[in-house]
Order: sequence, then C-alpha cells, then structure tokens
Amino acid sequence: MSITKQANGEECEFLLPARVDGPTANQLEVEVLAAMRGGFKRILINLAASNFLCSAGIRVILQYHRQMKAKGGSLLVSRTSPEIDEVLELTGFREQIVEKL
Amino acid sequence: MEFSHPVSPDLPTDGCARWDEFAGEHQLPAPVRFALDHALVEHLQNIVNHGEATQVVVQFELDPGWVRATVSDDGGEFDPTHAPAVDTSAPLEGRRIGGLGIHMIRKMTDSLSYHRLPGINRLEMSKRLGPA
Repeated sequence: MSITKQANGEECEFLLPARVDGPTANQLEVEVLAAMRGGFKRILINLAASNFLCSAGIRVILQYHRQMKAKGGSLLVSRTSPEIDEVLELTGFREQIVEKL
Repeated sequence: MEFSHPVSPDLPTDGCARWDEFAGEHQLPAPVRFALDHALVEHLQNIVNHGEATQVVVQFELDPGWVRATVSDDGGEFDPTHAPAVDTSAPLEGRRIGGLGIHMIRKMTDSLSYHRLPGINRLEMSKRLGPA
C-alpha cells in the first residue's frame, strides 16, 4: 500500500498502489515535494497498478503539474489502468496530464 | 446495511470498507462497485473537510434494478446537487481545482438526490444495476 520511487538521472517515477485515496494522496504530495526539492526536472506518476483515484489524488497531480511547468520542468502521469483512464476522462484531465508516448 | 460513524479522518476509508463488504455480499457488478466507491469516498471526504458535522449514518440498500447509498450528516445545510458545475473542457492552466469531488459524485451516479431534514443533510446516491 505504499508508493515506490524509481530515480534515473534528472527523472523520477512514482509507482502508486491500487487505491489512491486521501491518505495516499497526502503521501504522494510529500514524495513529490521531496523530489522537487531534490532537483528532479521530470516527475512521472505511474498509475498502471491503480484502480481507484479520488479527487484529492487528482488535485495533487494537477497542483504540482502546474508548479513543475512554471519551474521549467514537468510532472505527468506516465501509465494508467482502464479504471484510472475512466476517472481521468470524466474529470477532463486525461488528454492533458497523461504523457503522450 | 446501516452504520453510524463519527466524523473523523478515517471516515472515508471505513465507509468504503463497509461498502466493499456490502457489494461483495450482494455480488454487485464491478462497474457499480467502482462507481459508488468513488462517489461515497468523495462525499464522506467532503463531510470531513467541511468540519461541521459530528456524526454520519450510512445506509446501503437494494431496490429492484438499483443500489443506493444514503448518507445522513448533522452538519449545516449543504446541497451538493446545486453546487456549480465544473467545466471539464477548460484549459488546464485555468481550471479550478475545487469542486472536483462533487463533479465526480455526479458523474459516478445515475441518480442523486438531496433532502434537508431538521438538522440533517441527506444525500442519496444511486446506481442502476442493469442497462438504462
């Protein structure tokens, strides 16, 4: 139920657990802030193993997507599951925050 | 199934665990479980965040062709069915971050109704069990 971090040079990717609820969203915010302080220029949020994403999780992704962009970096969703695609689609964020491969 | 819970940070997680138990007992279809799981967690989290209510009562019921989650809380009057709509087509940079929870409740339910009873907010979130 925890978030795993994989770092590679200036990029780091967070692998999120099945359920991205309020407590997990809070933990993600702490991890993203630490990565930003650590100087990573590109942050990826991997939701391939997730099947639940609450609005608190979307808010964290959106808020730090904006902050990273303003600093000349990026924060994007790297991978999704069908359930996460559905949540991002109905909130209108899918096209904008999922990395285009 | 009915349960009462104090308004505390663990309310959304506990409420959804009870939903999972109910949905499992009644072998509800995965898309229905998924949708009401999201709607329930968003509504319970809103109750926790607004901080006015002290207690909630949650009921899960089956009607022919429908399943319903009813949440009653003792907070100040708040009708989520009349909250402003979120513009999901707006450019990302200008998008308002607030209101997403209620937007998700609307999108994840097939019927949503609010009643103000004396000192009580009651929200009924329903999902069809078959084709419309």
